[in-house]
Amino acid sequence: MKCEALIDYFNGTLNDKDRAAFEKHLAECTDCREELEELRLLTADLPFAAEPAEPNDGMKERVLSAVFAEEPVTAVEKTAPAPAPRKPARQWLQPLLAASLLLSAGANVYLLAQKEETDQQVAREEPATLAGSVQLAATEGFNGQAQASMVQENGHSSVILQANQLQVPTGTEAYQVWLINEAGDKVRAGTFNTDESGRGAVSYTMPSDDNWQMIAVTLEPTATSEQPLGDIVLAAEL
Amino acid sequence: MSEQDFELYERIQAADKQALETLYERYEKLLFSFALRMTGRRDLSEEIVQDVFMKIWTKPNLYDRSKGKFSSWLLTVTRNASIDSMRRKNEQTEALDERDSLKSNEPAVEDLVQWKEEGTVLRHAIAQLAEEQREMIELFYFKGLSQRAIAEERNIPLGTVKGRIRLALKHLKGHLSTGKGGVDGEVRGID
Repeated sequence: MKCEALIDYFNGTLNDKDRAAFEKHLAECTDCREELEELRLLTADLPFAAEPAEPNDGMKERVLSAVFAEEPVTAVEKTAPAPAPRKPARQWLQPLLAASLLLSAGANVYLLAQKEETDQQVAREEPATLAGSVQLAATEGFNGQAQASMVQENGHSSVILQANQLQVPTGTEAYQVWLINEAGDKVRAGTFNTDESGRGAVSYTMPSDDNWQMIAVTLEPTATSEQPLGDIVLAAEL
Repeated sequence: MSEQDFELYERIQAADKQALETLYERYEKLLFSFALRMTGRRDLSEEIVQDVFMKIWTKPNLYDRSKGKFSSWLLTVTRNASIDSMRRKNEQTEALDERDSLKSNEPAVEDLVQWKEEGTVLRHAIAQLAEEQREMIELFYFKGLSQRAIAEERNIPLGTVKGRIRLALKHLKGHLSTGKGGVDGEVRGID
């Protein structure tokens, strides 16, 4: 029975379950392995049977600009320094505090007003711990740098990002932080503006402990983009 | 040739835009033509080529030498993307007519010698197959249909599909190995 799935395996028409089952079978069935190899050999030249066709007008420009609009994962790997080694949480209180202060002038007042309540919470909850921290480097053509800290607090995770030397947004523009998982899904993790000297910060409670692979900051045309529209300005692997 | 491709691919792994552009220029026409051969649609073919290069650019280390020759791997990726695209659009596409193939006077590809050398010979050999065998190769390889869909399309028992595909492919290989010299001569005559 299993050997009959070979054609559908070759053409990728099996569902995930059947594909996994066939791959298991393939490991045990010499005939199927040989037939699969034979199919590959016999079809290897067939693409060259395609009649040469002129690509569409302007295709190269369209395709390459679409491709280069995506950040190469490896570029980030190259430009971002290795994640900082874990340090005791206490050392991170300083940047954390700085991040809060940078939120905005209004936020300071708010934070002061909340201080009493916060103190009470801290007293009865587990102390926050630092789960990790990375430096974000500017991508080609952009300025700036940032530090992102992942904080475990009261059973949930927050990311606190603090940036400086950024270009000051104009009009409705705003910086947005994105968390990107293995599948390439991008989730918004806060929006911020900078002060006149290009400094900005934001904290964000993460919806879930997904396996985040990357953190990035984009400059968006408005503060409301559900998916990144603007260029990636800063990025780092997590 | 494949050594150069591999070097380009390595540079792309280091986010070298120029390397991707060079690779694109080298394969644009072949991949587009192959996608067009499969889907019969120029708009889908452009999307497919874009998908392929998008993968190469954004997903690190997709290719390594264990996957065989780079160009073969690239063509397999293009074929899979074409099959996905056809399935997604769920559209009946008209295959290009094989019999028109010898009338082409497209300019020769400078870089991809293999295409130039093999294309005409291959199309000639495919045209020599019996209708039934040509159809099997068309439905299986270029349309990427499931075994069941092929059985229904050809109105043959499901259990015979695999055997017929293998037979058709082996016949094609046979035509290629025995007929090569003669076809080459013919091609030279045309040139």
